[in-house]
Amino acid sequence: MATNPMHQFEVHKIGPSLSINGIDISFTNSSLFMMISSILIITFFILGTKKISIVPGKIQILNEIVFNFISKMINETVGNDAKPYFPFILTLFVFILTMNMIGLLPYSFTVTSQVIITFFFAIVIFIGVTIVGFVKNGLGFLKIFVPSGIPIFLLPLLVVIEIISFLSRPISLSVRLFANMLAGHTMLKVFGGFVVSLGIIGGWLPLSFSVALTALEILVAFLQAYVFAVLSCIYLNDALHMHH
Amino acid sequence: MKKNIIFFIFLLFLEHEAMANEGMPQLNPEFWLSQIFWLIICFGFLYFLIHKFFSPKLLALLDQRANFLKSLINETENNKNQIQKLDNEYNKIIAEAKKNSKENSEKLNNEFNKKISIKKKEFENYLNIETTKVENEINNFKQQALDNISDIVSEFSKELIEKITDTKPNDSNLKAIISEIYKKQKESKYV
Repeated sequence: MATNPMHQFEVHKIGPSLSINGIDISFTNSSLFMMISSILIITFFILGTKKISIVPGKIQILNEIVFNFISKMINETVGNDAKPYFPFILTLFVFILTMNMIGLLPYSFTVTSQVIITFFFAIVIFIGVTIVGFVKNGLGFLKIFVPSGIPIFLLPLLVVIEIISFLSRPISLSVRLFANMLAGHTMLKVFGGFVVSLGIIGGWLPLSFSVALTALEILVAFLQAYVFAVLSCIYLNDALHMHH
Repeated sequence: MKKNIIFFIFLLFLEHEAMANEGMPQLNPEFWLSQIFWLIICFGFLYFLIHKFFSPKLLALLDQRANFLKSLINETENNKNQIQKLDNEYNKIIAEAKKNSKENSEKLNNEFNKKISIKKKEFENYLNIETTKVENEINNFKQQALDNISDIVSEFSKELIEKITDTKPNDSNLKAIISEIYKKQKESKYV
């Protein structure tokens, strides 16, 4: 039971069952780690903005680095039009990053390895971006499915491909993050299991692999949060500027 | 149609259940709604705090810093211009001072040379006068010595004769002889 690498992704209730109108909203280990992530982020921002000054302190510098990083990313991918969406992208990035990083700690839980979480994020972005596109461009937003400079006889085929590509955005966005987290953590668990089963004599090799994998997973955790945020910005850019 | 869709969703859930039981706990829909609920709560609360408090605070600070840096840059630019201006003025003053000092030094040099030449002339004149004076004096002394030489010679001769002969010669004779010799010698000199 304990050696099954998939058991780390099991969601279980913590405390009593809660429900609203028959919908189960019980507090789970997943909810707990979401809350821990939120509290950490809030603490980080509170400490960073508590004694805010022109000459920054250590935590304020970190706050500003995150802030400027996202600001620069949005400016590069979307431009100045995306200013109203900055807090959302910033929240999205820090939330996913913190959940990914916390998931790397032993005995913790990786919230982003739950497909429903990543899919919910992706579908919210997809619906939000579509609404923004229609609000900004009206029915002209549908032009996104019609690539420019293409021969007319190819258009029906390409429109279908574009529609499929557009509709598959939430799936690709969610599965990318979920699969990366799932694969990384499963591998860590498998190598961890090797260390235990091979013992002090043969366990050094998988242990060294585990160390290297952990370093890789830290990179992946950051990279996936970044990719998620960047892709959200790119979708937003499509809706705001209609590149097709 | 509706029945078909419901049946399809039911099948999908069944399949998920089966996959979850086989080893993918993520596909177990049991806690999906609860996870979505808590995700909305956590993300919503976090978004609210970032949107309302942290982001404006940091944005205001960054604007303030940008303005502060801008003002510092402007101030530096002004100071630079002022320094440039002062430097130009300083160079101008230095150049003027150099020119003045050169002119003054030339003027002083000329005056000094003039004064020196005047003094030199004065000194030469004085030297000439003094030399003439001394020459005259020497000539006078010479004349005087020449005038007195017969007396000196007679005196000397008298003493010499007295020492040689132990007799006192007659003064008048001796003087006459000496003056005769002196006269002859003088004449022979002029002839």
